[in-house]
Amino acid sequence: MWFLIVVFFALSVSVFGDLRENIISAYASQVVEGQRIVVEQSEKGTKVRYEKILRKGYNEIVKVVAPDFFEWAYLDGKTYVVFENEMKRSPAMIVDMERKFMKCLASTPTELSTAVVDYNGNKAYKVEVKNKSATYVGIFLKPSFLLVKLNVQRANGQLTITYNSIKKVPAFYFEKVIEKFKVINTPPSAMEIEVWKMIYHLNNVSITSIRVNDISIVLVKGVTKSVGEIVVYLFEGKSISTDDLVSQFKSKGFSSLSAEEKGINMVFVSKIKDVQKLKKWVKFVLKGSSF
Amino acid sequence: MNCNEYREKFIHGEMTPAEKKAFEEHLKHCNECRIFVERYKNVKSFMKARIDYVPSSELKEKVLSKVKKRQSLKKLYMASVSTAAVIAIGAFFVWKPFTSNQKVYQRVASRGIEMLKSTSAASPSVERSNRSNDFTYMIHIKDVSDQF
Repeated sequence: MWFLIVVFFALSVSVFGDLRENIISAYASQVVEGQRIVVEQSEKGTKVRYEKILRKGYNEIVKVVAPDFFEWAYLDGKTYVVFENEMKRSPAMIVDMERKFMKCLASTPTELSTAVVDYNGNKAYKVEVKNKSATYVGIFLKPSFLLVKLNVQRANGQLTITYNSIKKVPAFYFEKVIEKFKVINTPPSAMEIEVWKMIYHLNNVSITSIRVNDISIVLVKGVTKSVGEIVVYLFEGKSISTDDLVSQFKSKGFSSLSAEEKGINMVFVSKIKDVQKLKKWVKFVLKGSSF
Repeated sequence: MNCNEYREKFIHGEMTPAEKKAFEEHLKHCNECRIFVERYKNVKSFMKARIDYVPSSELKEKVLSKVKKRQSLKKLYMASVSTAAVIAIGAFFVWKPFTSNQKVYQRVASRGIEMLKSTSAASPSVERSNRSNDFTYMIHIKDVSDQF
Protein backbone atom coordinates (compact mmCIF):
# COMPACT_ATOMS: atom_id res chain seq x y z
CA MET A 1 0.00 0.00 0.00
CA TRP A 2 2.74 2.42 1.02
CA PHE A 3 4.60 1.45 -2.13
CA LEU A 4 1.58 2.47 -4.29
CA ILE A 5 1.26 5.83 -2.52
CA VAL A 6 4.95 6.57 -3.06
CA VAL A 7 4.71 5.59 -6.75
CA PHE A 8 1.59 7.76 -7.24
CA PHE A 9 3.25 10.73 -5.53
CA ALA A 10 6.40 10.31 -7.60
CA LEU A 11 4.36 10.12 -10.81
CA SER A 12 2.28 13.17 -9.96
CA VAL A 13 5.39 15.19 -9.13
CA SER A 14 6.96 14.11 -12.37
CA VAL A 15 3.80 14.91 -14.39
CA PHE A 16 3.45 18.24 -12.66
CA GLY A 17 7.14 18.95 -13.14
CA ASP A 18 6.73 18.32 -16.86
CA LEU A 19 3.68 20.54 -17.07
CA ARG A 20 5.42 23.37 -15.30
CA GLU A 21 8.44 23.04 -17.58
CA ASN A 22 6.17 22.95 -20.62
CA ILE A 23 4.28 26.05 -19.56
CA ILE A 24 7.47 27.99 -18.82
CA SER A 25 9.21 27.04 -22.04
CA ALA A 26 6.03 27.63 -24.08
CA TYR A 27 5.58 31.07 -22.53
CA ALA A 28 9.23 32.00 -23.19
CA SER A 29 8.96 31.10 -26.87
CA GLN A 30 5.49 32.46 -27.64
CA VAL A 31 4.90 35.47 -29.85
CA VAL A 32 1.37 36.62 -29.14
CA GLU A 33 -0.94 39.51 -29.66
CA GLY A 34 -3.85 40.02 -27.32
CA GLN A 35 -6.26 42.28 -25.54
CA ARG A 36 -6.85 42.08 -21.84
CA ILE A 37 -8.83 43.69 -19.05
CA VAL A 38 -6.97 44.32 -15.81
CA VAL A 39 -8.96 44.83 -12.63
CA GLU A 40 -7.11 45.92 -9.50
CA GLN A 41 -8.94 45.87 -6.19
CA SER A 42 -7.31 47.30 -3.12
CA GLU A 43 -8.14 49.33 -0.05
CA LYS A 44 -7.74 52.44 -2.24
CA GLY A 45 -10.56 51.27 -4.49
CA THR A 46 -11.03 49.45 -7.77
CA LYS A 47 -9.14 50.34 -10.93
CA VAL A 48 -9.92 48.91 -14.32
CA ARG A 49 -7.88 49.29 -17.47
CA TYR A 50 -7.91 47.91 -20.97
CA GLU A 51 -4.64 46.91 -22.57
CA LYS A 52 -3.36 45.66 -25.92
CA ILE A 53 -0.36 43.39 -25.72
CA LEU A 54 2.29 42.33 -28.17
CA ARG A 55 4.60 39.84 -26.49
CA LYS A 56 7.59 37.83 -27.56
CA GLY A 57 8.65 35.63 -24.71
CA TYR A 58 9.06 37.95 -21.77
CA ASN A 59 9.58 41.02 -23.93
CA GLU A 60 6.40 42.95 -24.52
CA ILE A 61 4.85 46.19 -25.66
CA VAL A 62 1.81 47.12 -23.60
CA LYS A 63 -0.59 49.73 -24.92
CA VAL A 64 -3.00 50.91 -22.24
CA VAL A 65 -5.96 52.20 -24.20
CA ALA A 66 -8.34 53.02 -21.36
CA PRO A 67 -8.97 54.85 -19.11
CA ASP A 68 -5.85 56.89 -20.04
CA PHE A 69 -3.67 56.15 -23.02
CA PHE A 70 -0.18 55.06 -22.07
CA GLU A 71 2.32 52.84 -23.81
CA TRP A 72 5.25 51.04 -22.26
CA ALA A 73 7.56 48.18 -23.04
CA TYR A 74 9.66 45.53 -21.35
CA LEU A 75 12.78 44.65 -23.29
CA ASP A 76 15.58 42.44 -22.03
CA GLY A 77 15.07 43.19 -18.36
CA LYS A 78 14.45 46.93 -18.70
CA THR A 79 11.22 48.86 -18.90
CA TYR A 80 10.64 51.77 -21.26
CA VAL A 81 8.01 54.44 -21.67
CA VAL A 82 6.91 54.99 -25.26
CA PHE A 83 6.75 58.56 -26.54
CA GLU A 84 5.49 58.47 -30.12
CA ASN A 85 8.44 56.89 -31.96
CA GLU A 86 10.82 56.76 -29.03
CA MET A 87 11.23 54.42 -26.12
CA LYS A 88 12.82 55.97 -23.08
CA ARG A 89 14.00 54.18 -19.93
CA SER A 90 11.42 54.44 -17.20
CA PRO A 91 12.55 55.84 -13.83
CA ALA A 92 11.27 52.68 -12.12
CA MET A 93 10.61 49.12 -13.21
CA ILE A 94 7.08 48.80 -14.57
CA VAL A 95 5.69 45.60 -13.13
CA ASP A 96 3.40 43.34 -15.10
CA MET A 97 1.84 40.73 -12.79
CA GLU A 98 1.92 38.21 -15.60
CA ARG A 99 5.70 38.45 -15.58
CA LYS A 100 5.77 38.13 -11.80
CA PHE A 101 3.58 35.07 -11.99
CA MET A 102 5.84 33.38 -14.52
CA LYS A 103 8.86 34.26 -12.41
CA CYS A 104 7.18 32.74 -9.38
CA LEU A 105 6.29 29.63 -11.36
CA ALA A 106 9.86 29.28 -12.60
CA SER A 107 11.27 29.61 -9.11
CA THR A 108 10.49 27.30 -6.25
CA PRO A 109 7.04 28.28 -5.00
CA THR A 110 6.03 27.28 -1.50
CA GLU A 111 2.85 25.63 -2.80
CA LEU A 112 1.88 24.48 -6.23
CA SER A 113 -1.14 22.71 -7.71
CA THR A 114 -2.54 22.05 -11.16
CA ALA A 115 -5.83 20.89 -12.56
CA VAL A 116 -7.47 20.46 -15.92
CA VAL A 117 -10.53 22.69 -16.09
CA ASP A 118 -13.09 23.94 -18.52
CA TYR A 119 -12.55 27.58 -19.43
CA ASN A 120 -15.30 29.13 -21.55
CA GLY A 121 -15.84 25.78 -23.26
CA ASN A 122 -12.14 25.16 -23.81
CA LYS A 123 -9.95 22.69 -21.96
CA ALA A 124 -7.34 24.46 -19.89
CA TYR A 125 -4.77 24.02 -17.16
CA LYS A 126 -5.39 25.76 -13.90
CA VAL A 127 -2.07 26.43 -12.19
CA GLU A 128 -1.94 27.74 -8.66
CA VAL A 129 1.32 28.92 -7.14
CA LYS A 130 2.02 30.63 -3.91
CA ASN A 131 4.96 32.54 -2.55
CA LYS A 132 5.47 34.72 0.52
CA SER A 133 3.70 37.76 -0.93
CA ALA A 134 0.93 36.43 -3.16
CA THR A 135 -1.15 33.55 -4.46
CA TYR A 136 -1.34 33.30 -8.26
CA VAL A 137 -3.94 31.33 -10.16
CA GLY A 138 -3.32 31.12 -13.89
CA ILE A 139 -5.42 29.53 -16.62
CA PHE A 140 -3.49 28.23 -19.64
CA LEU A 141 -5.39 27.00 -22.69
CA LYS A 142 -4.76 23.42 -23.72
CA PRO A 143 -2.74 22.55 -25.78
CA SER A 144 -1.38 25.99 -26.78
CA PHE A 145 -0.31 26.99 -23.24
CA LEU A 146 -1.61 30.49 -23.86
CA LEU A 147 -2.26 32.33 -20.60
CA VAL A 148 -5.84 33.56 -20.74
CA LYS A 149 -6.58 34.47 -17.13
CA LEU A 150 -4.61 35.32 -14.05
CA ASN A 151 -5.75 36.09 -10.54
CA VAL A 152 -3.32 37.45 -7.99
CA GLN A 153 -4.36 37.51 -4.37
CA ARG A 154 -2.37 39.55 -1.91
CA ALA A 155 -2.90 40.70 1.66
CA ASN A 156 -3.90 44.19 0.58
CA GLY A 157 -5.91 43.40 -2.52
CA GLN A 158 -6.29 41.39 -5.67
CA LEU A 159 -5.69 41.75 -9.35
CA THR A 160 -7.34 39.92 -12.22
CA ILE A 161 -6.10 39.85 -15.79
CA THR A 162 -8.57 38.47 -18.30
CA TYR A 163 -7.72 38.13 -21.97
CA ASN A 164 -10.60 38.93 -24.33
CA SER A 165 -8.57 37.70 -27.20
CA ILE A 166 -5.11 36.26 -27.64
CA LYS A 167 -3.49 34.70 -30.68
CA LYS A 168 -0.07 33.59 -31.81
CA VAL A 169 1.55 35.79 -34.46
CA PRO A 170 4.64 35.21 -36.61
CA ALA A 171 7.92 35.73 -34.76
CA PHE A 172 9.14 38.52 -37.07
CA TYR A 173 6.05 40.60 -36.27
CA PHE A 174 7.40 41.66 -32.87
CA GLU A 175 10.75 42.71 -34.38
CA LYS A 176 8.96 44.63 -37.12
CA VAL A 177 7.09 46.66 -34.51
CA ILE A 178 10.18 47.22 -32.33
CA GLU A 179 12.18 48.40 -35.36
CA LYS A 180 9.86 51.38 -35.67
CA PHE A 181 11.00 52.74 -32.32
CA LYS A 182 14.18 54.51 -31.42
CA VAL A 183 15.19 52.86 -28.16
CA ILE A 184 16.97 55.36 -25.88
CA ASN A 185 18.96 53.54 -23.26
CA THR A 186 20.15 56.57 -21.30
CA PRO A 187 19.44 55.94 -17.62
CA PRO A 188 16.75 58.14 -16.05
CA SER A 189 17.94 61.57 -14.92
CA ALA A 190 18.29 62.54 -11.26
CA MET A 191 15.24 64.75 -11.66
CA GLU A 192 13.16 61.88 -13.05
CA ILE A 193 14.22 59.62 -10.20
CA GLU A 194 13.36 62.22 -7.55
CA VAL A 195 10.03 63.10 -9.13
CA TRP A 196 9.22 59.40 -9.29
CA LYS A 197 10.01 59.03 -5.58
CA MET A 198 7.39 61.65 -4.79
CA ILE A 199 4.81 60.15 -7.13
CA TYR A 200 5.42 56.68 -5.74
CA HIS A 201 4.87 57.77 -2.15
CA LEU A 202 1.87 60.02 -2.74
CA ASN A 203 -1.73 59.23 -3.54
CA ASN A 204 -4.07 61.21 -5.80
CA VAL A 205 -1.04 62.68 -7.49
CA SER A 206 -1.18 65.62 -9.83
CA ILE A 207 1.83 67.20 -11.43
CA THR A 208 2.58 70.48 -13.13
CA SER A 209 5.58 72.64 -13.90
CA ILE A 210 6.39 76.34 -14.00
CA ARG A 211 9.29 78.21 -15.52
CA VAL A 212 11.03 80.90 -13.47
CA ASN A 213 14.32 82.63 -14.30
CA ASP A 214 14.95 80.04 -17.01
CA ILE A 215 14.53 77.26 -14.46
CA SER A 216 11.89 74.65 -14.75
CA ILE A 217 10.24 73.84 -11.42
CA VAL A 218 8.25 70.65 -11.16
CA LEU A 219 5.38 70.72 -8.67
CA VAL A 220 4.00 67.44 -7.43
CA LYS A 221 0.87 67.46 -5.32
CA GLY A 222 -0.44 64.47 -3.47
CA VAL A 223 -1.83 63.08 -0.26
CA THR A 224 -0.24 60.97 2.45
CA LYS A 225 -1.85 59.35 5.48
CA SER A 226 0.49 60.95 8.01
CA VAL A 227 0.72 64.49 6.64
CA GLY A 228 -2.31 65.01 4.46
CA GLU A 229 -1.90 67.14 1.37
CA ILE A 230 1.63 67.97 0.29
CA VAL A 231 3.10 69.99 -2.54
CA VAL A 232 6.69 69.28 -3.49
CA TYR A 233 8.81 71.67 -5.55
CA LEU A 234 11.68 70.06 -7.43
CA PHE A 235 14.26 72.02 -9.39
CA GLU A 236 17.91 72.04 -10.38
CA GLY A 237 20.50 74.77 -9.83
CA LYS A 238 21.05 77.49 -7.28
CA SER A 239 19.32 80.49 -8.81
CA ILE A 240 16.20 79.83 -6.75
CA SER A 241 16.92 79.81 -3.03
CA THR A 242 15.17 77.02 -1.17
CA ASP A 243 15.50 79.02 2.07
CA ASP A 244 13.72 82.03 0.56
CA LEU A 245 10.98 79.80 -0.75
CA VAL A 246 10.57 78.04 2.60
CA SER A 247 10.30 81.40 4.39
CA GLN A 248 7.65 82.50 1.90
CA PHE A 249 5.52 79.53 2.94
CA LYS A 250 6.25 79.92 6.64
CA SER A 251 5.23 83.58 6.49
CA LYS A 252 1.88 82.46 5.10
CA GLY A 253 1.32 79.92 7.88
CA PHE A 254 2.31 76.72 6.07
CA SER A 255 4.73 74.07 7.23
CA SER A 256 7.66 73.92 4.91
CA LEU A 257 11.15 72.47 4.69
CA SER A 258 13.76 71.89 2.06
CA ALA A 259 16.07 69.05 1.07
CA GLU A 260 18.62 68.27 -1.60
CA GLU A 261 19.21 64.93 -3.24
CA LYS A 262 21.68 64.29 -6.06
CA GLY A 263 21.70 67.97 -7.06
CA ILE A 264 17.93 68.24 -7.05
CA ASN A 265 16.51 70.89 -4.74
CA MET A 266 13.24 70.07 -3.07
CA VAL A 267 10.86 72.22 -1.08
CA PHE A 268 7.99 70.54 0.74
CA VAL A 269 4.86 72.45 1.74
CA SER A 270 1.92 71.30 3.78
CA LYS A 271 -1.00 72.69 5.71
CA ILE A 272 -0.10 70.47 8.66
CA LYS A 273 0.85 72.40 11.81
CA ASP A 274 3.25 69.76 13.12
CA VAL A 275 6.33 70.25 10.99
CA GLN A 276 7.94 67.18 12.61
CA LYS A 277 5.42 64.93 10.90
CA LEU A 278 6.35 66.49 7.57
CA LYS A 279 10.04 66.06 8.38
CA LYS A 280 9.49 62.39 9.23
CA TRP A 281 7.68 61.76 5.96
CA VAL A 282 10.38 63.53 3.93
CA LYS A 283 13.08 61.45 5.62
CA PHE A 284 11.14 58.28 4.90
CA VAL A 285 10.64 59.16 1.25
CA LEU A 286 14.21 60.26 0.60
CA LYS A 287 15.72 57.27 2.34
CA GLY A 288 13.15 54.87 0.99
CA SER A 289 14.62 51.63 -0.29
CA SER A 290 12.12 51.19 -3.11
CA PHE A 291 14.44 52.64 -5.68
CA MET B 1 20.27 172.21 -48.50
CA ASN B 2 17.14 170.45 -47.51
CA CYS B 3 16.23 169.04 -44.05
CA ASN B 4 17.77 165.58 -44.62
CA GLU B 5 21.04 167.01 -45.93
CA TYR B 6 21.25 169.30 -42.89
CA ARG B 7 20.45 166.44 -40.44
CA GLU B 8 22.97 164.14 -42.03
CA LYS B 9 25.79 166.68 -41.89
CA PHE B 10 24.74 167.57 -38.32
CA ILE B 11 24.92 163.99 -37.11
CA HIS B 12 28.31 163.44 -38.66
CA GLY B 13 29.65 166.89 -37.58
CA GLU B 14 30.55 167.70 -41.15
CA MET B 15 29.11 171.22 -41.31
CA THR B 16 31.23 174.18 -42.21
CA PRO B 17 30.78 177.31 -40.07
CA ALA B 18 28.73 178.87 -42.81
CA GLU B 19 26.55 175.78 -43.09
CA LYS B 20 26.25 175.66 -39.31
CA LYS B 21 24.98 179.28 -39.34
CA ALA B 22 22.58 178.50 -42.15
CA PHE B 23 21.28 175.39 -40.25
CA GLU B 24 20.72 177.52 -37.12
CA GLU B 25 18.65 179.89 -39.25
CA HIS B 26 16.81 176.88 -40.68
CA LEU B 27 15.97 175.60 -37.23
CA LYS B 28 14.18 178.82 -36.40
CA HIS B 29 11.68 178.01 -39.14
CA CYS B 30 11.73 174.19 -39.26
CA ASN B 31 9.96 172.62 -36.33
CA GLU B 32 10.74 169.04 -37.39
CA CYS B 33 14.45 169.64 -37.63
CA ARG B 34 14.34 171.32 -34.21
CA ILE B 35 12.67 168.24 -32.65
CA PHE B 36 15.19 165.99 -34.41
CA VAL B 37 18.13 167.96 -33.06
CA GLU B 38 16.69 167.88 -29.52
CA ARG B 39 16.13 164.13 -29.57
CA TYR B 40 19.52 163.51 -31.05
CA LYS B 41 21.20 165.54 -28.34
CA ASN B 42 19.20 163.64 -25.61
CA VAL B 43 20.19 160.26 -26.97
CA LYS B 44 23.77 161.34 -27.38
CA SER B 45 23.99 162.65 -23.80
CA PHE B 46 22.43 159.43 -22.46
CA MET B 47 24.91 157.30 -24.36
CA LYS B 48 27.73 159.48 -23.16
CA ALA B 49 26.50 159.16 -19.58
CA ARG B 50 26.48 155.33 -19.86
CA ILE B 51 29.91 155.20 -21.37
CA ASP B 52 31.42 157.59 -18.93
CA TYR B 53 29.70 156.14 -15.81
CA VAL B 54 32.03 154.38 -13.31
CA PRO B 55 30.09 152.60 -10.54
CA SER B 56 31.17 153.04 -6.96
CA SER B 57 33.19 150.17 -5.44
CA GLU B 58 30.31 149.53 -3.07
CA LEU B 59 27.85 149.07 -5.89
CA LYS B 60 30.34 147.02 -7.84
CA GLU B 61 30.81 144.69 -4.87
CA LYS B 62 27.10 144.43 -4.30
CA VAL B 63 26.44 143.53 -7.87
CA LEU B 64 29.30 141.06 -8.05
CA SER B 65 28.27 139.35 -4.81
CA LYS B 66 24.75 138.98 -6.15
CA VAL B 67 26.11 137.47 -9.33
CA LYS B 68 28.37 135.15 -7.36
CA LYS B 69 25.49 134.15 -5.12
CA ARG B 70 23.37 133.33 -8.12
CA GLN B 71 26.20 131.34 -9.66
CA SER B 72 26.78 129.33 -6.48
CA LEU B 73 23.05 128.69 -6.14
CA LYS B 74 23.00 127.48 -9.72
CA LYS B 75 25.98 125.22 -9.01
CA LEU B 76 24.31 123.86 -5.89
CA TYR B 77 21.12 123.27 -7.80
CA MET B 78 22.97 121.43 -10.55
CA ALA B 79 24.90 119.38 -8.01
CA SER B 80 21.78 118.40 -6.11
CA VAL B 81 19.93 117.53 -9.28
CA SER B 82 22.75 115.29 -10.47
CA THR B 83 23.13 113.70 -6.99
CA ALA B 84 19.41 113.00 -6.90
CA ALA B 85 19.65 111.48 -10.35
CA VAL B 86 22.57 109.29 -9.31
CA ILE B 87 20.71 108.18 -6.17
CA ALA B 88 17.59 107.47 -8.16
CA ILE B 89 19.48 105.42 -10.74
CA GLY B 90 21.37 103.57 -8.00
CA ALA B 91 18.19 102.83 -6.12
CA PHE B 92 16.60 101.57 -9.30
CA PHE B 93 19.38 99.06 -9.90
CA VAL B 94 19.65 97.99 -6.26
CA TRP B 95 15.96 97.86 -5.45
CA LYS B 96 14.69 96.44 -8.69
CA PRO B 97 16.39 93.00 -8.38
CA PHE B 98 15.34 92.88 -4.75
CA THR B 99 11.72 93.63 -5.48
CA SER B 100 11.68 91.46 -8.58
CA ASN B 101 13.20 88.59 -6.57
CA GLN B 102 10.53 89.05 -3.94
CA LYS B 103 7.92 88.96 -6.66
CA VAL B 104 9.44 85.82 -8.16
CA TYR B 105 9.34 83.98 -4.83
CA GLN B 106 5.81 85.19 -4.17
CA ARG B 107 4.75 83.96 -7.60
CA VAL B 108 6.46 80.61 -7.18
CA ALA B 109 5.01 80.15 -3.69
CA SER B 110 1.53 81.17 -4.70
CA ARG B 111 1.42 78.42 -7.33
CA GLY B 112 2.01 75.76 -4.68
CA ILE B 113 -0.43 77.37 -2.27
CA GLU B 114 -3.07 77.39 -4.99
CA MET B 115 -2.45 73.68 -5.50
CA LEU B 116 -2.72 73.04 -1.78
CA LYS B 117 -5.94 74.98 -1.52
CA SER B 118 -7.52 73.30 -4.51
CA THR B 119 -9.62 70.29 -3.60
CA SER B 120 -8.04 66.95 -4.32
CA ALA B 121 -10.09 65.01 -6.75
CA ALA B 122 -10.61 61.35 -6.05
CA SER B 123 -8.75 60.71 -9.24
CA PRO B 124 -6.41 63.46 -10.37
CA SER B 125 -7.96 65.66 -12.98
CA VAL B 126 -4.75 67.30 -14.13
CA GLU B 127 -4.28 66.81 -17.82
CA ARG B 128 -2.01 63.92 -18.52
CA SER B 129 0.18 64.10 -21.51
CA ASN B 130 2.77 61.63 -22.69
CA ARG B 131 5.48 64.19 -23.32
CA SER B 132 8.71 63.04 -21.72
CA ASN B 133 9.61 66.48 -20.36
CA ASP B 134 6.54 67.12 -18.25
CA PHE B 135 6.79 64.06 -16.00
CA THR B 136 3.05 63.39 -16.07
CA TYR B 137 3.76 60.04 -17.70
CA MET B 138 5.03 58.92 -14.32
CA ILE B 139 1.50 59.00 -12.97
CA HIS B 140 0.65 56.44 -15.66
CA ILE B 141 3.58 54.30 -14.59
CA LYS B 142 2.17 54.23 -11.09
CA ASP B 143 -1.32 53.47 -12.43
CA VAL B 144 -0.27 50.51 -14.54
CA SER B 145 2.57 49.13 -12.52
CA ASP B 146 0.46 46.73 -10.46
CA GLN B 147 2.12 47.76 -7.23
CA PHE B 148 -0.93 47.77 -5.07
